[in-house]
Amino acid sequence: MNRRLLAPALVLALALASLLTAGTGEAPDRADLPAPGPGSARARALLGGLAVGDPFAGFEVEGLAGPGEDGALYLHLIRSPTASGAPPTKIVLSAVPRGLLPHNPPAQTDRYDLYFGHVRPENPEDLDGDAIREALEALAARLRAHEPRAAP
Amino acid sequence: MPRGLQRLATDPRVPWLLALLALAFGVPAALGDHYLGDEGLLSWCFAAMLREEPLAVFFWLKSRPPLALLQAPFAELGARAHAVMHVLLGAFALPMLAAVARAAGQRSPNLAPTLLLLSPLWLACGPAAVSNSDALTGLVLVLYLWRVRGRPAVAGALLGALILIRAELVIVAVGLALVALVAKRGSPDRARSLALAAPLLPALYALAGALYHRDLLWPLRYPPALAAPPAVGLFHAHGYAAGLGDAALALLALCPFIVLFPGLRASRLPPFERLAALLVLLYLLAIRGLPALGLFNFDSSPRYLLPCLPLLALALARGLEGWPQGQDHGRTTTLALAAALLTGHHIAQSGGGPALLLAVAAAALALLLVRAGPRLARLALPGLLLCAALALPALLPATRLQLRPEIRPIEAYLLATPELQSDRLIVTNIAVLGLRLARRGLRPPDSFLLHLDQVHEIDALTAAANGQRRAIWSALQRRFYAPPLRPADVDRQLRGRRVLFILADDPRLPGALPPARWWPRLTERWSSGSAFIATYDPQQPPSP
Repeated sequence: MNRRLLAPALVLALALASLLTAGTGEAPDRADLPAPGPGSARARALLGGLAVGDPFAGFEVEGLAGPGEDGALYLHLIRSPTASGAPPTKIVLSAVPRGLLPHNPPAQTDRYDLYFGHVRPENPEDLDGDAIREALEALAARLRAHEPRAAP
Repeated sequence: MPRGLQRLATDPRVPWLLALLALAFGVPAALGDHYLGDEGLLSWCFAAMLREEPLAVFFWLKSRPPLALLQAPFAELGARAHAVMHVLLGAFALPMLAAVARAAGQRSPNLAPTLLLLSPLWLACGPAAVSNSDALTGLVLVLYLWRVRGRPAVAGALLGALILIRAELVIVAVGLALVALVAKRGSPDRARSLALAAPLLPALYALAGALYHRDLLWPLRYPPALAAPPAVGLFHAHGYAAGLGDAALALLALCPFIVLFPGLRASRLPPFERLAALLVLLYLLAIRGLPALGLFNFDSSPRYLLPCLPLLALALARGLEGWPQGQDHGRTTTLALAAALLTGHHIAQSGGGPALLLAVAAAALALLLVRAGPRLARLALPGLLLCAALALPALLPATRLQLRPEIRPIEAYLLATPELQSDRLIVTNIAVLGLRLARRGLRPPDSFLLHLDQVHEIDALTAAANGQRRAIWSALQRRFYAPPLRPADVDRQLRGRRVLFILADDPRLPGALPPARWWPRLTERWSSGSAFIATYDPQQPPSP
């Protein structure tokens, strides 16, 4: 085989192999959720100006996401671990337009059903039902205060 | 090379055919608003404003004065005619670039304009009517005057004027000046004449402006853009947080052949193309690097990359011209492809898409053909050009110049709800909405809601003492997207009135429409992920 062909053939083979395996790498954390960030103007307005780093019901705001096409809003919360060396506890609260999901929501406002999920790590010791309820109630209170009237 | 292909690569009529293809894409796109955006519209506003307040606008660097002056006589024809004119002017770049390549002695002088035509970014910037496309056409004219017509001083003067249109071209001018410093007096390319003539028009303009501003240092006090981004979250949200994947996609939108550029061996390029390659490298590094150093205020919009495209096309065309004869730049090419492969692999595995990997695979396959013997080598370049043509639909969205997707749903909603618009003030922060609504027979917005940083920019870049600032605000009132509404005037002008808000979501919105005062009083009528329509009725109490 012509030695000059070897290098481009190798690059081509590797490029094709990489194309075939693209997407099979480890999915980033919470890949099924929109990435958290400073939040859109609407998200922050709905939450009364809540910003990344603000304290929130015993947590800290890690980021906001949405509302997207489905109208869902996500609030990413984080809490530093009590024990040294332990990972931080994370949870995501979501506010989705009422009736959008078939599940019974643990909290509601006039416009939104509220849920929680994506708890990291699994079963963290410092996260009990009261802490989650408190966070959901805090979210509901903010939304009730700031959500615009629903479309007629 | 087969005679047919040889003829396509050299026939001087082919660039005019390419220009017709560019028109076939660009004119319908301009007339159909496919790439209508705030930047292109702003360019038209400046031209129209110059007719209203000639001195104030001409000595306002943000208005891109030479361009506004050239376009002012045609401003009355409307924004779409303005976009069509951009496409027409842009098409001339193709035959001019071919002439430059021919003058440089390239074996396939039609290859450089073909690479230009296959740039998704160039194709989109024409109908988008952004001044970046004017900068490109101007730069090609500079090269044409310098290399084809042998008029380096005229070319230099034009380059100086271009800097007043797109400040980032100063990177090219500085690069040329540095080359001129080391060029021998009387060297055949006369780069020194070009470099010496470049400051002429900016200097004359600055002196004339000093009479208007009564201040010699006015260009420093009122530069074309703020030196630092305004202190709002938008800048980072738009740009420099963008990852490697976005950067690679922007470069591929600039030129799908970009993966071959790092593989050009400088020692095999003639001096002119070596200079072109050096300027491309300098430009790309500076356009991304200077804002990171806080020296310029460009965001990461791909259109800022555009002006270096003619130089890139010339360097690449020279590098690829030996392909049909089985000649390439050897190990450098494969090493560059290997580096692009690693980058593409990282991007794809991180969820950033396969575009770079596909470009590498196409280039590697073409290189394989080049090295596989004379018969297959002939197919390499046409095959790669075909791949780039097929990739156009996939890469055009990466230009980020297409009409905002929420515009058409907004139009549909407004057409279905005429009662919402009657007897209400219409307020928007979407630049293109007025033009689009007028086209659909709907009432255009009464006010364009400015954000705090936009007000700050207008105030910071205009002089108050000589009345310029007042004149600019006055011209904006008549010749802007819609009469501007400053955040400070929102409460005074809107309270007590019935208002229809048509707003794009924007991190700056709370600064213009404070959530605590306004949001509980709005009734949302329609929303998408990135825009919403809401009404305000003063007699309705706020929601609890």
